[in-house]
Amino acid sequence: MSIGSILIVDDEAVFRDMLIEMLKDKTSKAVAVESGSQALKVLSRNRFDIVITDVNMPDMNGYQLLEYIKFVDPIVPVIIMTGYNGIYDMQEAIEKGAEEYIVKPFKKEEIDALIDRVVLRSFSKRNKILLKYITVANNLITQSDEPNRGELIIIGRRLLKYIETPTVCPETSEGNST
Amino acid sequence: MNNLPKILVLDNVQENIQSLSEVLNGNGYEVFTSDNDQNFSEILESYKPDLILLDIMMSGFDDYEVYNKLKQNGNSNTPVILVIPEEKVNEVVSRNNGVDYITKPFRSAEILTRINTHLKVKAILEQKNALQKELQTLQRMTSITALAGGIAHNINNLMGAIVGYSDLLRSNLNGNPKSLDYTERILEASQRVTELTRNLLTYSRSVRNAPTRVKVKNLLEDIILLYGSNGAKRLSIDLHVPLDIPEIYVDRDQVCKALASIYINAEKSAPKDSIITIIASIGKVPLTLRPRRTEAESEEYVVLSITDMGSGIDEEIAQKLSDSFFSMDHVIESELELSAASGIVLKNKGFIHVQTKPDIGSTFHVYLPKAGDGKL
Repeated sequence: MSIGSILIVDDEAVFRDMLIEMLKDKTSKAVAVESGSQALKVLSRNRFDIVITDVNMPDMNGYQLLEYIKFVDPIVPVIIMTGYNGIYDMQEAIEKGAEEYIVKPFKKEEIDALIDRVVLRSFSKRNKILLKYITVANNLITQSDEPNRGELIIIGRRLLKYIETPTVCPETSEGNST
Repeated sequence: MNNLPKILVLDNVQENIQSLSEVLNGNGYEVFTSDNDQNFSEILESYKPDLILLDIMMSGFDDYEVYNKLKQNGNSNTPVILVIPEEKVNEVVSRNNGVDYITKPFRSAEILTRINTHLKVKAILEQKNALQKELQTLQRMTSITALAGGIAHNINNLMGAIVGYSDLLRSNLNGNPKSLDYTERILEASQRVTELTRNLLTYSRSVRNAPTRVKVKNLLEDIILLYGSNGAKRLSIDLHVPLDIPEIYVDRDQVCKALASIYINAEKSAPKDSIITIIASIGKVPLTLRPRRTEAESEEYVVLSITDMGSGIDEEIAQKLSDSFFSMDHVIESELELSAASGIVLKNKGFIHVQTKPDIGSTFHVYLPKAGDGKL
């Protein structure tokens, strides 16, 4: 499946370039920055579907960036990349709110699979929240004496149907293995 | 081997030599004597005394020449007690700051007490020097380790780009078999570099360690579950953790990695259909290791013993792993995992003792500190 936009945060230029290349068929918009503070600047002006960040960076490390992102927008999924493959590192990343954890170096199929998983989960998370709002709105409409009540109820039902249908269809990746 | 303290008596009066020798021999010292000053350098070289009794009035020399030569000859740590006549005391004291002496005729009790004191001081000085050396090595190791960690991090980042681009290249080759083969080889080699770098990263990170109370049973079960691959070899894992085993006080992540390396090594060495035994017990430092670990003699450790029924490992490697400082100079790739494990365990105030017998198998005893009541 392809997604809207990805923000890449890594202090190693050649790695950033590689990752943009690697994610070319995943997204039409991959932006790469070299530090946490630059990431925050970019995030303040743009919305991204996923943030992928390194941990060890000079000014602000990946976990600090993660905390900041989660404070500003708890829904945007963050993937942590590191060189350590200890289970407790993974645990730490997940506990701090990262959606996923990937150990460097990795191959295209690994990051692709991870992104697919994250996107699916993030959609269902968004859907749940929207579902909650629409259900509340529907209840309010049903109880109100608004003249356009009938139309509003129909719109509400359509919205519900739209939310319950998956908005993205993952392409089957079977048979792609090398 | 004779371990008695060795005393060199330099005197040109035979009666003095004889009476000193009698006293010293009778009180547990090994005595070597010389009545001329011509060959004392050779004597020093071959005999390596722990203490020297020097008659300063030896013939053919300036009064203090022998003494000065002794001190210059790389023997500055060997205590020298001057044997002087009563009337020379003031002169000796004013000319040689801090020198010790006994006066002739000497009393046995006095000379034995002096010798005993000097040997004790010498032992303390030697211990201090050894500790200083160990401290320097430790400081050097710490800075090298931090440096290695930094470099390993950068290498790993670049490996990320190499592996990533190679992977992209592979899918863009349009089936050219030779290029495909080359790319596969790049990826294989990269994989090995990555593993080595990862070990360095884990090892270097053990410099920063954050110990907590860790339950032994959970830790071992995690390792078997996460790192076990006993499918093909049909290995049975025998895990014994008695209920009264206390918690350990270590950095869980690091120790998990170290034990996993040992466990993976056991799995690699184990023959098909064999058993790997993991036993937790409480133990003190084994007698054979005590001279090197006097400080921890009475302390109790939690001992995790991992035994495989494999072909055993090289004695030299086993010794290296049990040492407080192992040399990374000539570590071959397969040893690196275990060396890193040994380093991590040491950083967590434990140590590894390896028993290995060819064709019977190896047991890695990993000694880890118990969590005390006060530790959180």
